[in-house]
Amino acid sequence: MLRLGCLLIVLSFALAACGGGDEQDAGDPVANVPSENGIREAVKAASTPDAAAFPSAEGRTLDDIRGEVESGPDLAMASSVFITPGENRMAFGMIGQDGLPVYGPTAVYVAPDPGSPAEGPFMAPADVLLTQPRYRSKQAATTDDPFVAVYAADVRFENEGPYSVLAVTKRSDGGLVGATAEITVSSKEASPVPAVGDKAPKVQTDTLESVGGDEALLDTREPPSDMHANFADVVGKKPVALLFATPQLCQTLVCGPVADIALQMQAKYGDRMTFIHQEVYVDNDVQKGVREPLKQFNLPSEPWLFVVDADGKITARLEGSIGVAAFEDAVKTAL
Amino acid sequence: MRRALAAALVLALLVPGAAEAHGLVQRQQLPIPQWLFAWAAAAVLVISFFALAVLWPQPRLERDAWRERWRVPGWLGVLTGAIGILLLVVTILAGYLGSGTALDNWAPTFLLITFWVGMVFASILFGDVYRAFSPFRALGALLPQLNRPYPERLGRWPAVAGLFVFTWVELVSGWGEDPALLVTAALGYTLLTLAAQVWFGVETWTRRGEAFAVYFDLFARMSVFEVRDGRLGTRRALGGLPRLDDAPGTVLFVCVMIGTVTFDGLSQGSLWRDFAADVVDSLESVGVGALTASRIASTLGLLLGVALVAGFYRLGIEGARSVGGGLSQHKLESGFVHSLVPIAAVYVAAHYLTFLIFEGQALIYLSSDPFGQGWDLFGTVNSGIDYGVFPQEHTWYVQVALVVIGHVAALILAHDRALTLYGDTRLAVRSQYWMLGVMVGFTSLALWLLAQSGS
Repeated sequence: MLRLGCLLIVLSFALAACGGGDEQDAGDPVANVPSENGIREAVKAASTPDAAAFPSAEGRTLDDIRGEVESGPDLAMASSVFITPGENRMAFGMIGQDGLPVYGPTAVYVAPDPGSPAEGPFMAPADVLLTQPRYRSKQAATTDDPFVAVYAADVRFENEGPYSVLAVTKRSDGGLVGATAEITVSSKEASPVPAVGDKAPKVQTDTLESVGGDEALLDTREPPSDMHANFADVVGKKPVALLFATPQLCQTLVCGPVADIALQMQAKYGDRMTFIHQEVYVDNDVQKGVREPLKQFNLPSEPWLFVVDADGKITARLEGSIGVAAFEDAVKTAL
Repeated sequence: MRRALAAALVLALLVPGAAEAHGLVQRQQLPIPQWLFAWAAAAVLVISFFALAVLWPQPRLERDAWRERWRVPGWLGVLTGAIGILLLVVTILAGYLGSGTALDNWAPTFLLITFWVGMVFASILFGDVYRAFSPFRALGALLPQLNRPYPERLGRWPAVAGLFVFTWVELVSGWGEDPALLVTAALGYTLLTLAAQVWFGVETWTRRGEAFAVYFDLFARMSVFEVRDGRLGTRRALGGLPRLDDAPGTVLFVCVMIGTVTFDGLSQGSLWRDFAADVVDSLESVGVGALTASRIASTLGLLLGVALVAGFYRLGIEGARSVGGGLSQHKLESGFVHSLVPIAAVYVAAHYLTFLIFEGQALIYLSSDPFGQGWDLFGTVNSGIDYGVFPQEHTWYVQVALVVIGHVAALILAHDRALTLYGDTRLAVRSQYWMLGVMVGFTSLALWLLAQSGS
């Protein structure tokens, strides 16, 4: 009787295994944010900002708008390359005077200088940086970094040259706080980094073979992932998500978790897209400079994500801090 | 010859210093340098040795002190066997049906962490747990058994081959990154084992040829629990080891146990990585692919690890022989091999403890969806690895403590056996100077290997 019961258990596993097969739902990324101190609620509110909550830029300068909000936090830009024409993902964090991130509905305004007419508000929803727990590397799981989300706005710039940026966040008490930063916008032609619509350079990314079997050189993530196919072998045959990042040498939540997000996305889209993680520094030594694939992509910073469709054309390009939602949206552009 | 052996012994005693030169990396949080730990560990062994010489004049562990405590109901064996079969089936199906990513698949985690490492701890603590849960024994009981005579000269040699191949699969092949390939190997081993059981009988093959059964049985001999004829009893800790029979291949089996872990530790350090890179470059220059060259280098490293341990043990035996007593090399080699089992145990425990504690947690979420079908059978699919469950700053202390305890246990076993073999306390103690050298060497090697992971 007992043997029969055990047999039935085995069979039920086997039968259940034959069914199903739906995509694993990553769920709401906000659910991955710790609930302590109301952070999850703040991030949830920050992930769906409403334009009506922010001052209109109609006929006003950046200084005018800045005058309507309290100062206090600092604006930390998490992306550095901006081009015109076209839409730019402007990633940033708002950091309070206590050094902790400020989360709330947020928007940005831009102008060539503070006294010029402003454009905006561009909504900047918070994008969660934390993956589902099972996909977190040791680096991400043990960091004390308090940043759990990054703001990102899609912004278009009319002209090249310097721009002033004003980010405004609505606090839980309804008050608005703002902070400014300066950026430089280049022409699309002047930016050497391959852009959306370009053919992706057919670079040879590192594999276990190319590093002589030394896994420590291949991946600084702990534990190492299996996302190490040769880009040149798969590009043009299948959609590819190519991530340039170094989890160990950039341990903050700004760039460390990007490889984790890639791993989570691979679990969901891996049957339709090849996910490749390329380490940044030669022999993982910052002093030795960046590896060849990064040189061929002319990358001035890291991390970068390039999503390439089955024809080898870049369909999405993300720089700097990348959240789960932005990563997934980018992946979908090539499917 | 004696001079050479003496020189080698002196060298072994100096290993803590040599190890430092080879890269014992001081961890910043340690209050004293790591090389001092190595010397302290060696000092503990030396003190233990002289304490044994004075306070342990009669053999104590050779006498069988098993006492029955509980009659094991027959249904329990059926249940554990069925669980073993279920786990084997789930693992093989998971390898084929689950995620192609090793980190996201039940099979590699279960086979290489829970089973391979976890079962060692379970065996030491609770006795021969594997025997109870072995799917091969449970399946074998359902199949006919021809019970053909097992060639005695084969001894444990099939288990030696099986253990070496498994460690090659784990540490060299890269199959662990490919769940389907890994479970294909497991399936192959299952079929081979079932066929051998049909031919030689389940019990004979379990005792001699089934690599995992032999492996975990050796560790289980350290436990205070032992089941005999359906009765659970208790005995002294380590009490099962003196009863180990001297079947051919046993010495090499134990050397493979220690040598493969030695290579795993060595391969994580810069010393091996630099050497392997040179080997790969050389082989590439003659047209061998880099990955193949890397695997050739690692296979050689694995063999080197086993050879190093075997050579070291042989050195101790030759030394013991040189003190007189008229004992043959075979008698001494098989007589003292059981004393190496605690060393094998602490090599595994110290090297893989955090691996089991941290990466082993993956089984909690993988068990809810072993086939990657989007299930949440136990409500744990959204859990992760909690690196706070074990204070990592204490890891080194725990590792050192384990290494020292294991080597003191080995000294005790060797001393106890020497008293029986030589029948003369003075001669027995003199023979153990050499075993002391071996133990200090193994201790230093263990600490150096643990330090390698940080270099």
